Amino acid sequence: MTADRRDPQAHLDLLELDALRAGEPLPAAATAHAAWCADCASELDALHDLASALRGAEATPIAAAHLDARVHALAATHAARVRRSRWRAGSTAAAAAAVAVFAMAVLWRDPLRRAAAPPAEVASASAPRAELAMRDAALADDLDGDGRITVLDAFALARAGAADPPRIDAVVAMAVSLQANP
Amino acid sequence: MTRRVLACIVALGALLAPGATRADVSRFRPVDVWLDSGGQPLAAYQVEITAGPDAAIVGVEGGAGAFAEPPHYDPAALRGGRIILAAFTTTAGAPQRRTRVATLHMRESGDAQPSYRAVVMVAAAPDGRRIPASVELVPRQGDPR
Repeated sequence: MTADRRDPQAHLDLLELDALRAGEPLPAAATAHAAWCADCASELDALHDLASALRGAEATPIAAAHLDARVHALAATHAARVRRSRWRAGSTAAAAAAVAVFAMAVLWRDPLRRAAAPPAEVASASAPRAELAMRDAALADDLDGDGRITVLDAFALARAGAADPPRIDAVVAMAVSLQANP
Repeated sequence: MTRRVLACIVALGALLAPGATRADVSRFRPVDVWLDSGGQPLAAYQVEITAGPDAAIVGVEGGAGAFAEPPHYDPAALRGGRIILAAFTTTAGAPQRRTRVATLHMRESGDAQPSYRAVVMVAAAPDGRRIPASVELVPRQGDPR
């Protein structure tokens, strides 16, 4: 704020008021203005009230347990997908590197075989197996081991009586998720 | 001459209007979901239901007996034509006969009744053992709106 602080109309703007509320340093003129200006003092009080209300709201849970469970299920699904895609990117790079090393070895051993194609199938053949392993790891809740999350996994948890309801709800949410069951 | 042409256009519009609005008429129809586990007690099920393009799922209701509570489903399925329903019961009274496990509320449009298809993904007995089951969708009388 660059206006003359002695001017009654040159009130502090919202950023300055909030900085004042938070105890952050302000130019002396702004502090002095806030000290005598009733309008700015009123705005400052309102900001204090708003901050208190927000702190109170933060301490109160705003999502029901079943919503938490659903979000957990969706997040787990998304995380599994991201892990798979990252692995695919990594495996592609590893396969390319393996092919390059093999090609260099062949060329180094026998220059006459430069035209021979590198056996890319060596690298690619292992990719599906590793991808399946990653997928299996992502399916930690696949208790019956059928390769997918179904209501039977939640049912097994419920029958065992060891799992808390939010976890059971999360497993069911994943079982019925359209995103997880394209 | 101009008046005759205008009159023809108006008459043609009047003739076409009912046909044009008929497609916009929608009706609501409950579709019951029945499961039959062939005499074995049914404690858990998961079914996938798909509807034709002229139908949208607008609600899910529970069934009868042990499955009176609404089943689990993805809320994203509402307003769409595909849904996965799942439920289980750990209490006594798992049904052994054909039982209504849920009712879908559909909004249909068009003149013909949309097609519905259902597949049992899994079904289990109270001990967790998988059992065979069949699913049947039974549309009720529609409610024109």
